[in-house]
Amino acid sequence: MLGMYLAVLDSDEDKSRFEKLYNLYRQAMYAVAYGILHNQFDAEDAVHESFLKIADHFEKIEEIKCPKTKAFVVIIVKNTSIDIYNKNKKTVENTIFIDDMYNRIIDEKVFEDIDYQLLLNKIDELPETFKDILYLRYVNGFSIEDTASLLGISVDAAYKRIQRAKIILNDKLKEESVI
Amino acid sequence: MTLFETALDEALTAKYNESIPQTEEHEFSQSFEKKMNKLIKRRNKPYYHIINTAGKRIACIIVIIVLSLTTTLSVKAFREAFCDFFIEIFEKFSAINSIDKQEEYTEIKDIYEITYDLSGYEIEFCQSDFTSHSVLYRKDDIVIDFNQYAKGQYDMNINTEDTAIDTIEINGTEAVFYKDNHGYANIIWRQDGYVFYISSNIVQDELIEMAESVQKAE
Repeated sequence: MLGMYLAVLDSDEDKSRFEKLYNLYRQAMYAVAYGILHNQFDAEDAVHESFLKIADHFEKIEEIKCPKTKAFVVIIVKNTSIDIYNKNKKTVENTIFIDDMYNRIIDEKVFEDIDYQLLLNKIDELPETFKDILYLRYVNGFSIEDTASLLGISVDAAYKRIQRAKIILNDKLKEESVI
Repeated sequence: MTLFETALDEALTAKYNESIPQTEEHEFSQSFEKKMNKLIKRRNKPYYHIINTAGKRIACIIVIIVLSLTTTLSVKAFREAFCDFFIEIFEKFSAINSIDKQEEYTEIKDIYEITYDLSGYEIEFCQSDFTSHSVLYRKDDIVIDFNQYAKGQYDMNINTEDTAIDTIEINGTEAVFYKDNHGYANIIWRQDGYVFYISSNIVQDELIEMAESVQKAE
């Protein structure tokens, strides 16, 4: 015979890690989303969709309360909000890249012998789109497939975006004659 | 971490954190809270990675009664059989939403349980709150997901591509039966003022017996 189980969800001990993450970051995520969409309902949709994406990859998040995880949720909700914004405006961001970029493969090892402060500066100069994908891939440690899923793009698009990001960073460093 | 990863971390983490606008705390809408509560409950389930496929297809649920049967039921009989649930069939999934009944409970007052012999099963997951009660049993590869819902708390989008929704009887009450795209048999029915939902990869007849054994816990 089964006993009666009444879980008290109010105590921190009983809350799931996912619920902890939700409670910790939902206000911040809403603020980011609202800053882009300027509409309460769209912003809430963006936050909800972001948590759906996060839920699919939640096992890969180690620490809930840490700056890297906070940065991660900011990236997800920002990109989700931009997607909603584009859908609402029925516009799509068109970025044209020169085809020969795809022929260049930059191994991240090339950045290992760079002056550290210079590397920091040049990373900071990268467009937001490239910062986001490099952060998810190399700091949060998601695979290319997971990164694509989190950003709502194809695996091929994610791969190319990562390549472009490294190429542009490499070119910026070359301008300083350090590569 | 490599130098590159360390540089990305140092260059960007603080800036992402500082980019969050400082605003007053937002009071989220009821519909948002409801959606998030459902996601959190589903996310808590150990086999979330199986059920989230249908969950990803969640769209706004529109309340319509439309279903055509190929059974011997007359149209009138069919409409009565399904009058407790709104079912909308899309191309690849179906939305099932319970119609609120006045006499049904708005919160869980009594916990119900499966009284069928569950020897050998262990409770892998159990969660209760004011409006729902969920228990997940496991024995080797067999999983039984048992759920009790208060009024207005049950709605589900299910992947019905290559499957069909059918009617069966649970203790004389019409129930919804379907097999999902993971091969799990699912039964949904009303009893004693609550909506019950049971899902498992055991054989259909045994699942029906389990559903029929559901009673108020002593």
